[in-house]
Amino acid sequence: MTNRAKGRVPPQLALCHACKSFVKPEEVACPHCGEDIAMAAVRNADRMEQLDQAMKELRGLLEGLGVSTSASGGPTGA
Amino acid sequence: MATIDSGRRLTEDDWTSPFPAHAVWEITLACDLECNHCGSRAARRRPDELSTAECLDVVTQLAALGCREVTLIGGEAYLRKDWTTLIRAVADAGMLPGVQTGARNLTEKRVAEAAEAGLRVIGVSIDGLAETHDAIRGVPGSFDKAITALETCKRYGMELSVNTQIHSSILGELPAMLDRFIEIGIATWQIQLTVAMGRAADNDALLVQPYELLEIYPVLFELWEKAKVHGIDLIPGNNIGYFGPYEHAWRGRSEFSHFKGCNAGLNTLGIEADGTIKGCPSLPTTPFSGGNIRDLSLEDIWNDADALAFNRTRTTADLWGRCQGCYYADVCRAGCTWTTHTLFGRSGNNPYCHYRALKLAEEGLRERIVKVRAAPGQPFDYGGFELIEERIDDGAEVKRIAAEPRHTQVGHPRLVVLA
Repeated sequence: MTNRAKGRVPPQLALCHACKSFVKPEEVACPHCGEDIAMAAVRNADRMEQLDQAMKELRGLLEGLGVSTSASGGPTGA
Repeated sequence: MATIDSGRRLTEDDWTSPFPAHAVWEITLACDLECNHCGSRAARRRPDELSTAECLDVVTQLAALGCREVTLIGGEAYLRKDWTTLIRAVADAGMLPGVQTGARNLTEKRVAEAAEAGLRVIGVSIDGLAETHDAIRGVPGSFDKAITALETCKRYGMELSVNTQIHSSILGELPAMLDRFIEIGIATWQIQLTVAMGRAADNDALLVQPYELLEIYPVLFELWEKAKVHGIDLIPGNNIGYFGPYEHAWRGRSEFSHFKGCNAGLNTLGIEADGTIKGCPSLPTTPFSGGNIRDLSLEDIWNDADALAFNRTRTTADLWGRCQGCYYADVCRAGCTWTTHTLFGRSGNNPYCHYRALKLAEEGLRERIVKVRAAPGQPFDYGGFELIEERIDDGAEVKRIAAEPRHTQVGHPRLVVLA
């Protein structure tokens, strides 16, 4: 067997949305901040949905004023 | 401006079976700058650099191995008379050609010829504002030449990248540098720490200390956020990290993107101008040469050379020091091999880690490096450093880890516990 065959797929980590640290996928509580990882993900999804809705409303207001809203960028929270 | 980024980032599939997705190729060691951090000590061409015919054969072999992108570097790539022939050959073979340059003499004529040959992406190295950059590059006016080259390449439709080394004098200049890059309209800004190789090992005052990451990374993250707003992708190099509070943001575009360890010999390949093959262009020639293209096929070297396979066989058992027991050990595997091997003569223990610096600080500790052995003065050489762990409050030394003897990878570092 050549070395080429020896692929190494790196472990995929998950993100704790409470402290934004990466954690092993089997973790229930974040080893870094102690938060419940699943609950933190739910709270983050809610927050992102609220942010998305707020952005849509802001975009609508700006477009109503004739302001272009096609610039790049956006929320940086994952 | 639309980027051509989509084919450049590694995908999950790229990790499953090693292949050189990205090759970085020093086509000559000749250089028109005199950088005092240059790892390869570039100045004059190597006496036995590959001929044009040999280079074209390398291009064919890279394409056959599935390579997607080839970055030509030096020395200074444009000092080879056939550099546009090689750009064209890379493009004709279906790979993305790129050039990384100091750009001191990257004239409009050269830019036009490169563009006509198929060059679409170019990276210019800029290591500070004018005074700092010129001092590091050893040539007055080199900053202005680099900026002019970026503007020229922009006019020829190239995607612009800037590469910047984080050295001991640059931190306060980074915000103004970003403002300049926003004005020019670059697409990517790649950041990496200066590594103790070649002339940087001679001029070790340029190196930042591991504990200084706690000051540097918050600044980089602020820059990352500002760059993003302006459409610039600030990319942390492979020795920036690891797994600190900014990892989720600046390394990738989803919550599943994070550092996955050194990729030398996994999906990256380095070629020296004399045909020496390494798993990463930055690695020391000794002991990381897997052979020479004049003696063996690229496929045979890639597949069978042990010097390219260290990442395919590395496990957490190969780690030592604080990396050995780290929560992220099986993913990170001590980060950048180049950075650590050039310090200690052995990889597997990386003090240039944000997560580690934060954990140490929680314990009232910090780490710094001290040079104890000079580099011998050859291209891609390195010296020796000791790693000192000390208390933050009074500077009292807690541990000192010595460097390995030169050019060895066996044995264990001497660990002296003082308190």
